[in-house]
Amino acid sequence: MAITNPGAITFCNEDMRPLAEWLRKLKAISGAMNDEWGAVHSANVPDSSGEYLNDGREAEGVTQVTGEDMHDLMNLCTTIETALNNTTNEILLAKFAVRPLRL
Amino acid sequence: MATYYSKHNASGGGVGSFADPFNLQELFDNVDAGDLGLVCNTGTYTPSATIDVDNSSACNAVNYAVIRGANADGSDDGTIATISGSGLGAGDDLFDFNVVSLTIKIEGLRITAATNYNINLNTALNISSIVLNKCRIDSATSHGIYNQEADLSFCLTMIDCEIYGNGGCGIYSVGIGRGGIRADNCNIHDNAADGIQDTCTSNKSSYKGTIFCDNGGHGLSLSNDALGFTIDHCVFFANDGNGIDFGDTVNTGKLVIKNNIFRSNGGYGIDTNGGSAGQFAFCDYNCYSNNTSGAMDISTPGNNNVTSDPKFTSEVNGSEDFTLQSDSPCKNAGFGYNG
Repeated sequence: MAITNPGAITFCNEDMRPLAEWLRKLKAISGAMNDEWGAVHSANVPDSSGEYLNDGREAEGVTQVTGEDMHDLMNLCTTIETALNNTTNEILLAKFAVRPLRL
Repeated sequence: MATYYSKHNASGGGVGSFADPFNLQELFDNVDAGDLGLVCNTGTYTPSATIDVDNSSACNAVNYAVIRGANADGSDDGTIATISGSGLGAGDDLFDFNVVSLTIKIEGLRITAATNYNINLNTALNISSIVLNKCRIDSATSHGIYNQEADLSFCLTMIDCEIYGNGGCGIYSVGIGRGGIRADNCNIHDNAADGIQDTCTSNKSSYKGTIFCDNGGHGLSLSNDALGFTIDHCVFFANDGNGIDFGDTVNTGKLVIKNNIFRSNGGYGIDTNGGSAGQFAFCDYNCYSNNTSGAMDISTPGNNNVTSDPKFTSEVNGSEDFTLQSDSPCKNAGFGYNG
């Protein structure tokens, strides 16, 4: 039976399809970041709450981050990539996405 | 008519000749109606303070001043001169326009990297007309152009301009002027927010032959009680939001939208936000293709639209070419083109 509910159709087109495209983009970005983090940066950043990133941005009101924060965020990034990077989810996202991936 | 010159390293106090030139602020202060000011491309201009455009003699009833980029040797040959905000303090505009009844034409300048707005059109610009021709407005921390003018007779005209890479909108217009914005053959792309957000009340803007591409918000966002817009021969491509986003109070029957291509936008090609086909005086002969949410949020007006791939020459990010391939379904399909 066809789903003809106008609200459901609008929700799918205005919210779900854009979400699928964002998730697909997030998957690509998180994958690239994980690759770069592992290959280049991880070894240079101690996983420690006592080591601050000295980028001087606290003067402009930006929160100072630690090495531990950076590792935690990249762990989250890995979790996201893992969740999205499997065939079932890739097929699901591709069903909803309309546009080609554009980075 | 007098011709004056500026050079990037002029320290001030010159007479405006090529041998003894003005600095940039002096050039804008001294070029009166009918005069030509040449911004010689001797190097990148890096003013340490905002350039105030407030010369009340820059126009009169019959003429206006022209400021134009020029060759380093002073030749008026169409060379683009670059003015950068790299020497500004934090939060500074590169240009502030601040005078009543100003008409001025600015050509062949790249205005880049302001730490706030590249061009700030302030509320004093009553009954004014600003014309930008062959200018590049890019890489400001905030909006490329911020229009605050609220007078009924203000008009911003842009011809062959490129507005890109700004941290806010390409153009953010909050005035209520009836003159509105006119953009012909411009390229408005890769701005972090909307390409153009035009929230003016009661204006009559016109966008023709203009590209809205890869902006982080909508390509063109129109809101408030607009008297009317004409959007013709434009391309809306790969904007993160809608190609065109209308506010919910756009006046009925005042919008003409024809011969445009809406492709691969992240929302609708056109989102009326719950409006109706009655808002359009004419909306037909457009191409809607591959937009994430669909062509429009309402039943798409017109019987002559194209819904297949327009076949641009290139959609590659960063090297788009919106000319049409020979087998494009949009060739000769527009209104007035055997359509």
